[in-house]
Amino acid sequence: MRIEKIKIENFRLYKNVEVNFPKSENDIHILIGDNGVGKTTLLNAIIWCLYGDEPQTYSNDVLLPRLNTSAGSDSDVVVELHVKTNDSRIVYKRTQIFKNGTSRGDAILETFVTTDGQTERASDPEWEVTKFVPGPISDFYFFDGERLDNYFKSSNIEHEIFILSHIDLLEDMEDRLKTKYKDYNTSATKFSTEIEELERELEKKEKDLEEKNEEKENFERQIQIAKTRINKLDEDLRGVPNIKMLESTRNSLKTSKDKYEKMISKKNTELNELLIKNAPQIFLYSLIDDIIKDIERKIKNNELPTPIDEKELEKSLKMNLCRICGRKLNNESVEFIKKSLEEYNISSEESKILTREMLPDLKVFQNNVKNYIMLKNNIKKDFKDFKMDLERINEEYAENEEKYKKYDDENIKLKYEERKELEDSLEQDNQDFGENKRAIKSLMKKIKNKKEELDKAMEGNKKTKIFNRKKNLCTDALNVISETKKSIMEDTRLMVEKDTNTNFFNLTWKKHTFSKISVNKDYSLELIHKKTGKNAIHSASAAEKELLVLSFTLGIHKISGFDSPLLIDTPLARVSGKHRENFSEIFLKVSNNKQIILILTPDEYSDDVKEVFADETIQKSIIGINLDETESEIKKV
Amino acid sequence: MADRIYIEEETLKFYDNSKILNIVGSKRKEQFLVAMAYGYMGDTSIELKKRKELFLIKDLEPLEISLFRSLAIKNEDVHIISDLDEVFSIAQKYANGGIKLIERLERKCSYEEHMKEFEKKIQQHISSLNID
Repeated sequence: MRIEKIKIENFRLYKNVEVNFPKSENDIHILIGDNGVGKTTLLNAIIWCLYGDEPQTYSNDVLLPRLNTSAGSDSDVVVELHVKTNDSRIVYKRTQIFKNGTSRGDAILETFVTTDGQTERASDPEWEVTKFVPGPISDFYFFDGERLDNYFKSSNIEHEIFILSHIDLLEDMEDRLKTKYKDYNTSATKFSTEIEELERELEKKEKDLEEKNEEKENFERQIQIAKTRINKLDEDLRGVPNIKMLESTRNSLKTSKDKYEKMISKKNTELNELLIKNAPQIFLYSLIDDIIKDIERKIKNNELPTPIDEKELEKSLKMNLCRICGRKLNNESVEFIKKSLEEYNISSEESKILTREMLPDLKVFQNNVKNYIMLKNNIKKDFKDFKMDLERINEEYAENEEKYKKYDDENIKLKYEERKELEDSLEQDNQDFGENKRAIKSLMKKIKNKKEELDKAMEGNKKTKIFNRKKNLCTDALNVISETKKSIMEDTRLMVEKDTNTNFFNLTWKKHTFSKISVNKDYSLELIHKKTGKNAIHSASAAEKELLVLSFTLGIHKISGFDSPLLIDTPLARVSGKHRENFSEIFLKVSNNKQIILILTPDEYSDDVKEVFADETIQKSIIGINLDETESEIKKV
Repeated sequence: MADRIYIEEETLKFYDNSKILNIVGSKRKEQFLVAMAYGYMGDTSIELKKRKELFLIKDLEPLEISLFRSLAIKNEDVHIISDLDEVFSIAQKYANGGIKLIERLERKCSYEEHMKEFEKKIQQHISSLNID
C-alpha cells in the first residue's frame, strides 16, 4: 500500500494544496519546510482524515482554527488521502462543514474504492481505514520524530499488539465459556440448598472480584493517562525552567543576600569598633613600648624596686607558707621576703606607680595591640569571605532573575502545577493500585476455595454430578485458551524482537557496540551493550535511539501485516553530524520495500543529507508560507 | 583634685558630630582617648582656652590612667605621674590638639571615606611600628 496523493482544502494553514507521490525506484519523498510553515499540520491533516482526530503536537500550544482563516466562513474543511493497494485504489475523504465560521456536526469520513475501473462508495468507511492502518497502531506509521523518547517510556504498545495478534477472538470464546460455566452452576442450585448457598457465596465473591477488576482497570487507565500527560508536559516544558522553582530560588537567594549583607554590615561595625577601641593604644604604642623598656631597664639597674605583690608576701610571712608553691618557708626565704618588703616600702611613690601600676597596665596595652592585628585580620578574612559569597549569590540571583523574566509566563506555571498535581495523584494511585492488587489476590484465593467446595458438593449429588462434569470441560477449555493467548503473545513478542534485531543490526553504522535488543513483555525496549551486557538505552545517542525505534517500527509493520507507508515528521531533528548522513542512507535502503515520506526542516536537510537524496528520481517539495502567515503551499523543487 | 575631664568648649560640637568618633556610638571617654592619642601621634598639644566638662574622672579605668601617665612622662619629669591634676591637664591638651586634627581629616574626605581614611592612618602607624 502506498499514498499516491494528498489533497487538502481549508485545513488550518492549507487553503488548497495537492501533493502527489509518484512511485520511482526508491519510494522515498522529501518535503522541506521551516518551523511554523505547516510541516506538522500536514502530518496532522493525514491523521485527521483517517481517524478524525489530531495529535496535540502543535508548537507553543497555539492551535489555529481548523478552518483556514482566509477561507470563507461557510467553507468546508476537506482532506483527501489517495491510497493504492495491490488491486485497488482507495480515496479517504473527511469533510467538516462550517457555517458562519462554526463547525456543524462531526466531520464525516467517506471512502471510495476503485477496483477494475469501478468506483464504489464503501458502506463502512472506518472499516476501510482499518484495512489501511488501524487507529491503535497508527503511531507506528505516522509519527513525529521529536517524540521518539515516548517509545522508551511506558506506553500502550502491549495493548496494540494484542489487537494486532487478533487475540480478541480468543477473548470472545473465553467469555462464552465463562457464561456456560456459570449456567451449569445456576442449574445445579435447584437440586440442593447447600449448593445454592455455596453458589450464592461464590457469586458474591465473583461480583466483588469483578468490581475490584474494574477498579484495577480504572487505576491502570488513570495511571496511563497521568503518565502520558506527564510525558506531554515534559515535552512541552523541555528546556523551560520551573517557574515555581525559580520563584523559590529567588526567595531563598534573596534571604541569603539579606543575610550576607547583614553579616557584612555587622563585620564592618565590628571592625570599626575594634579600630576605635584600639586606636589610642596603637597611636601611643611606641610611647608605651619606650616606657616599658625604660622601667624594665631601671628595675634591672636597681634604680627601681622589683615589682612585688606586698599583700601576698605579707600573707606568706604570716602563714609561714609560700603562697605560690605551697611549701613551708625556711629561714632564708623569710629573710628574703622581709628584705624585699622593707626595700619596697622605702621606695618613692613614683617608683611604686611605675612598677606596680604602669608596668603591668602598659604591658596589657602592648598585648592588646598585638591582639588587635590578629582580631582585625580575622574580621577582614570573614569580611572578604562574606563579600565573595555575596558576589556569588548576587550572580546567581541575577542569573535566576534573567531566567525568571524570560519565562514568567502563567501558562508555564500552570503546566508545572499540573505536573506536580499529576505526580501526587500518580503516587496515590500507585498506592491504591497496590492495595487493589492485594485485594484481588485474596479474593481469587477465596473464590478458588469456594469453587472447590462447590465442585465437591456438586460431585457428591447425583443430580448435579453431570453439571459438574460439563463445568470441568469448560475449565479445561478455558485453560487451553488462556495458554494459547499467552503463547501467541509470546510468539508475537519474539517475532517483533527478532525483526527489530535484524533491522537494527542490518541498518546500524555501529556494528560492534551493542550485542542485542531485548523486547520486554511490556514491549519496552532494551539496547544491550556488548561489553557490559547491560541495558545502555539511556546512554545511547539520539541517532541510535531513533534507529532502534525505526527498527522496532518496521518489526511492528511486519507482524501487523499492514504494509503501509511510513511518514515521519522531523526524522533527523535529534540526530546530528555524520549520523544524519547514515540515517538518510538507512531511509533510502528501507524505501526499496516501503514508501517513505519524510518531512524535514532546512536544517535537517543539510548538504550531507542532500547528497544522499541527490538522485533526481527522488521527489523533493518545499513547504512555504505566505507573507502574512495565513496560508501554506507545497511546491515541487 | 579635679573630678572631671575637660575639653575646649568650641570642640564639643565636633565631639557630637564627628563621623569617626561617633561611627559606632562611642562613649565620651572613648572619644576623648582617641582624640588624645591622635593628638600625641600628630604631636599637637593645645592649651584649653574655655573649658567644658566631657566626663567624670571616676569613669576612667586604672589602665587608662596609666595611658595618661605615659603621655605625661613623655612631656615632664617622671615625678609628674603622682600629680594626677597635671597628668589630666597634659592629656586634655593632647585631646584638644587631636580633635582639631580629626576635624581636619574629616573635612578632607567624603562621608563614606572617613572610617577608611582613619583605618588607613592606623594601618600606616602599625606598619611603621613593625609589629604586624
